[in-house]
Amino acid sequence: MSQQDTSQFLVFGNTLAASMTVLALSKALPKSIKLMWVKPATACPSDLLYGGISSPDAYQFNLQLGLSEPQLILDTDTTFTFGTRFDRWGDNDQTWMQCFHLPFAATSGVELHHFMTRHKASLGDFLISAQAGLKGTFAHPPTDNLQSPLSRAEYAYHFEPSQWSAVFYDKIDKARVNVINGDITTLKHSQDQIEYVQLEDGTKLKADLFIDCSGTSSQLLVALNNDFIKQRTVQLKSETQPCAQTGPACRSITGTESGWQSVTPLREKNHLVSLYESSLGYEQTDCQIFTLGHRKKAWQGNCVGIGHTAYVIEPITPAPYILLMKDIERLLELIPVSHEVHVERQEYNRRFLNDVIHAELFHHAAYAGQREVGYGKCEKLDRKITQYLHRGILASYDFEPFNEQDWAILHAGLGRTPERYDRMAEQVDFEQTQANLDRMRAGIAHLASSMPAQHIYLEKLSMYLRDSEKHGQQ
Amino acid sequence: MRVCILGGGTAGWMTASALSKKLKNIIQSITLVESEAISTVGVGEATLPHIRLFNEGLGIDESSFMKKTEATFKLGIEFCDWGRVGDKYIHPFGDFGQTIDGVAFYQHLLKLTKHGDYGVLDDYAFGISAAKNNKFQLPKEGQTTLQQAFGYAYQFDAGLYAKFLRDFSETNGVRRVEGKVVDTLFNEKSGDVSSITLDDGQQISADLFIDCSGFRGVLIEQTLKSGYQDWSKWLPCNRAVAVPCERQKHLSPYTRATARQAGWQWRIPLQHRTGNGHVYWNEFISDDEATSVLLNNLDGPALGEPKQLFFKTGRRNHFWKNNVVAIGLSAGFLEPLESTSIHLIQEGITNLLELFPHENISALDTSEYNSRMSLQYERVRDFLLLHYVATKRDDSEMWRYFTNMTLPDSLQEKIAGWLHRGYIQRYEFGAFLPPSWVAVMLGQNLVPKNYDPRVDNSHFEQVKQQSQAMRADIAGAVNKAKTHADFLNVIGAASNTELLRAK
Repeated sequence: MSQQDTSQFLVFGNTLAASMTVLALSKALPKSIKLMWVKPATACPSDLLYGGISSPDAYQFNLQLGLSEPQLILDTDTTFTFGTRFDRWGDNDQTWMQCFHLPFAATSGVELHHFMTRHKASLGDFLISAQAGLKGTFAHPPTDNLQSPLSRAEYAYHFEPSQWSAVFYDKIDKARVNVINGDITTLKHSQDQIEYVQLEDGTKLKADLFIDCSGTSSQLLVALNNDFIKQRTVQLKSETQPCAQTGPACRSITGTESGWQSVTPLREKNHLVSLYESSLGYEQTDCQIFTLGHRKKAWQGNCVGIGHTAYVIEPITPAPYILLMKDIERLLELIPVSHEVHVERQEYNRRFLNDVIHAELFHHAAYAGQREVGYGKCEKLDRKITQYLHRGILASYDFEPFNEQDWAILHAGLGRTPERYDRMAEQVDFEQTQANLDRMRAGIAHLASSMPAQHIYLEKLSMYLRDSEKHGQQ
Repeated sequence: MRVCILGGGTAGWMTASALSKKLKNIIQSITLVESEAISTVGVGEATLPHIRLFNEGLGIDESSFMKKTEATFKLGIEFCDWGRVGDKYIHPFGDFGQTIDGVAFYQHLLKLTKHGDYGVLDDYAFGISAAKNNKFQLPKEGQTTLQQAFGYAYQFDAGLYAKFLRDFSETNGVRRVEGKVVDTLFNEKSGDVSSITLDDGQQISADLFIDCSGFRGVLIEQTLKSGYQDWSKWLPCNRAVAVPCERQKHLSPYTRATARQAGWQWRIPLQHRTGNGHVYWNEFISDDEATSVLLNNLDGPALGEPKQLFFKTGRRNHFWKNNVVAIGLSAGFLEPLESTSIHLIQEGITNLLELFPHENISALDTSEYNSRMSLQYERVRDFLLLHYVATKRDDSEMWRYFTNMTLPDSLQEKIAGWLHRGYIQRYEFGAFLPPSWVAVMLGQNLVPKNYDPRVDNSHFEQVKQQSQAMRADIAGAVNKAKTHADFLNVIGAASNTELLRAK
């Protein structure tokens, strides 16, 4: 395999990761690289680990793959989300809206969260996405009215992984991708190279690069190296409940004695997920058991693991979805140029580990000091929490999956109050700032209330989209 | 809190102006101690675009500042004789070309160049084309995205900049005290510096000292013994000789760095004169020879006697220790090959503002500051070292030294990724973004073996057409742009000083 040679990639799995990866590769790979997808008949249950929530980047990512928002709205049960509302979370029963938001407005070079400390205010009151999420309303952020607070909001989607998988699958050019419906029964490998995989019917398939999207079973990758670092074991129970109307534009996660329960509003139904901590001794029926953690290396020899094949993270945030997008972007940037993949593998694994560790930091931060879930001491997290508590500093590392806004909202939501704030805030007149904040809070509350409920917005949007479709305006 | 800044060079007055403006009602007093008997180094005459944010933050009017500091615009640095003798390229501020099908343009160019003459990277950057033609315009004046895709900085007289900021600071309440430090008192228990004693017997007490005393590091090193990380094994040049000369007729909007046998020579064109210097490794060239090399390679007659500088590349073990923060040369020294001296001062100030102590100095503030600054210095170090190792030169002992060098892992990985497939290992926190790495690596003939395979997925004929259109767009806009000198006149930034002439 070299810049001009023909080579072959084989993707394996029936997961959201598989369909997204195949579609992305089919769009990006040069024709000299042939693409095969071995797709088992049964979807992998570990897609439950997405928690049915994407990140705001999904809009652009999908669009690049040829999938528009109108299509998702019309063809699937997708709904909009401003984030996740946490209820009774942790030992202190904290409640807050972990919303999506663009960088906070700064005053005299000082970011909003410092003024929250100075004026003893609640950050969520000043974030339109938090307020709208809590009130159950939704409207698209305007792009032509940057004065509106709504223009600073970001939104993502609630989705059903099987539906999104199907939509991605439909988008795949079947002439470009050789889709083989079947399962891999055996695998022949030597050292860290997969020689071939064998299907149920005896067919042997060779490839230059195997891309394992089989989910938590990691069927291909595990054969080369099992370097999974276990963190803790949990049980997940999933059920769907129909409802009269679509729920709010936010998911809810409620802390329970045994773990947590989430409610994700889809179109006229709710998806419920309950997590039970195995360490607390709760034995549940109808549950899937997952061991949370990640691999040290997602790329071994000639096999790359994408999505849950490489890490298993509980879906209290969109981290699983964010990491999946990052996996795909990383793979596209590092498509091998020759048989010698040392450089690609090393760089992929470096970035992979940083991404996963940084995503886990966010989750660990959600639990830190709240209850024992088996996380050890972590220097990076210590820095983040101590710096925040000390003076509201949002210490960051390169290209973290969660940005400064996410961290500020999480800290505030968990009741972490900095002892001090940025000294430059003192330059701004207190009374005047207080008046501005009061005005801003009232304006945001009013705006959030005046927006339509998500079910009404979706109905009207769907009607408009259908009309546009009929008249060929899409 | 009372603040004392020791040293009044660029670092001292930049710090004084930022603290006096941004923390006006918070700091009880700011005293800056400097001595006219101690000359300042002032090597940082060329800057990075970040300086504009600094000036804007202070509310400084660009034209007036440029006029008073004899400043010129800077679109990049021209590197001569680095990859090979006879080579030249410009490292601009900005990107090259436009992304095609989600893949950076330089990757497409790697393929294009295998199929004919599609120009060089320079042709796809407005900043470079303008620089080569001594033209200038502001990015916002560009008619297309491509014409706006560049940044700019300044080249100025560092002494005048310090003077300009001194006026600014004093207007904002900074007290300047003339004197030399003869003694330092510190609290045995806490290890903090409590006061400094000047040669006239004056004692200045403060809660926070900012050491801008230059290489000597009067407080951070001589008093607090911070210790120094010596980076000479990677950046071994240890001396410089500097001299200004008469300005040439055309005013170049770029700095020039020319590689020499045992170092490199800078040329920084200002409005009234041109600054020059020769940075060298004294292992392979004597001071006299280095001076001769400098004087023999000036644009015009020298305007004074060459001035000698001695340094050791590296950084303090602690940028902030106890109640002393080192900013500028007292914090560390990295040769000014990429104009990072003033940038690192600015980074120090920005971080200090964010972490400025409340009633007491916390270990959490010092550790955060030190961690951020360490990362900045290390990343600049790697980028500077790249210039010495991305070369085919082996025509002198110095260049052969670099051929055999074991690189820091962080740089080795970057170069490996680049050579293999033109891949840039990115970071978020650091002065130099991917286009800078691309500029230097391609500019110094480090040509990747392969390009990003996604390039082959683009329609080749369309890519060719797009590339030609990009070049034409840039060439046309540069043609219409004003000359650098005219632009300075039009915006009222031209100085009234007559060109300095050798006596």
